[in-house]
Amino acid sequence: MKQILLILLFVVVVLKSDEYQIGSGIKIPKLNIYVGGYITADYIQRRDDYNRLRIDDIALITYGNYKRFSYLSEFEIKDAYFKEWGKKKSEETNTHLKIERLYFDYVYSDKLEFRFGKFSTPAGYWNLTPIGALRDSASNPYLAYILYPRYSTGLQVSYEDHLNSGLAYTMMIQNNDDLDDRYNNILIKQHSVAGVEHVGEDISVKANIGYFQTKSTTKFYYFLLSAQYDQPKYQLTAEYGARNKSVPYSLYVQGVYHIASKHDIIGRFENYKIDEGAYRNEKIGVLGYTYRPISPITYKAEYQLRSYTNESQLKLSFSILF
Amino acid sequence: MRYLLLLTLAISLYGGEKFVLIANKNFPLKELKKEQIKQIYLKKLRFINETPIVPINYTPRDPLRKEFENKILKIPPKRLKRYWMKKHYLGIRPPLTQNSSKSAILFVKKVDGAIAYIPHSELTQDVKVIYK
Repeated sequence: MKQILLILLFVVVVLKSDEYQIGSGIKIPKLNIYVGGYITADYIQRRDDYNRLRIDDIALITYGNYKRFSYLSEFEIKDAYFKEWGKKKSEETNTHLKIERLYFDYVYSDKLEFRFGKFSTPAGYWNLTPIGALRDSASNPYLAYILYPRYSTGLQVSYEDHLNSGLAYTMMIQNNDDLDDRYNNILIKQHSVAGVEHVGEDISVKANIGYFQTKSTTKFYYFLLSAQYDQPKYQLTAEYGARNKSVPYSLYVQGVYHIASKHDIIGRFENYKIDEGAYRNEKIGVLGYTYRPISPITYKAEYQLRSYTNESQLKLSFSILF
Repeated sequence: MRYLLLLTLAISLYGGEKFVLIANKNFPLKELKKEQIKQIYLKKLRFINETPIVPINYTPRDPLRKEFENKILKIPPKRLKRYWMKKHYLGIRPPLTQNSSKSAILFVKKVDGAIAYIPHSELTQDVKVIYK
């Protein structure tokens, strides 16, 4: 509870500062350090009479730089408040602060950069949008949860020849436990991933291959192909990947259409197959609407029509960035 | 109505003026391509050789900034705002801002890796033109 109060106190102090602009953090005077954060809440109503309301994230971010070095930390209280009713009943509050990201960057040259610590796994496009509140849809595609560990704790090397080619290369290696494995979708002790990306004027494409070993020592290999097409009025993102043993395929295609300056509509199609003892093969259609009265405040609504029809659901969410 | 016409005329005249991109005399390159300028102003390219690059911008409503964003960045203001919000959560700040092209020129003269766009008519001798 103390952690929540401290974060809320910080929010009040930040909002009262004269120099503060909502959504862009605040600089700590005399230090080259910025502080920001976000709060998100969501509600789900499923067709099989399952309902859930939660304060999903209360997060605090700090970052700063000195010459060629920089750092970023993100600490988060996950599921600060959680209530289920209908088919399943429960209510709980959590106050444990978890480490979502904590890393240091070193810019060696205009082409070569190193990252060390816990960070978002450098695979695909979806996973590299750092927080859900910045994404267009209320939910994430299944691919983002089932294919590879979303966070890695290790060393990342990036190479990009900005001045001569549109190609970027990334390599990441983890050979240790997660910095905080309470905050990851898969518990791992080894992970490595390599990627190449072509960044064009409107379209970017990326290919990743990876390997990870879970704490129960099961070894997995995976690949992921991603593409993003950006136009002033709309954006298309598609990702396709597979993993040996348990995920024969997983894909999604999402389109975001900017209907007016504060209003977007979102359509997404997903298809995945996963071995959970028995194979689960599911198709999901998502239709959503996002309203941003001002950029840092987002209201989202979506309906997921699923081939497991009992799990079709309405999802509403609210987020504020500070 | 007369004032509105004068204002429209003034804006169109200003909009017609070309900008040039200037850099400190010690800037490591002789010129930059449009795509490289875009990468610098989006903070994707932060060093050239050993020099940290410091792009200078103006306040969001400055007409020269609007011209620059239209011609070089080609990203609508709302999307640019969201871009910087995303970058904030990755630990990257937008370019520094100066209130006028005069203060931008002074900044560029003092800092080795600094670059700024200024109206062509305000070009001075002590800086290097790297894009026009």
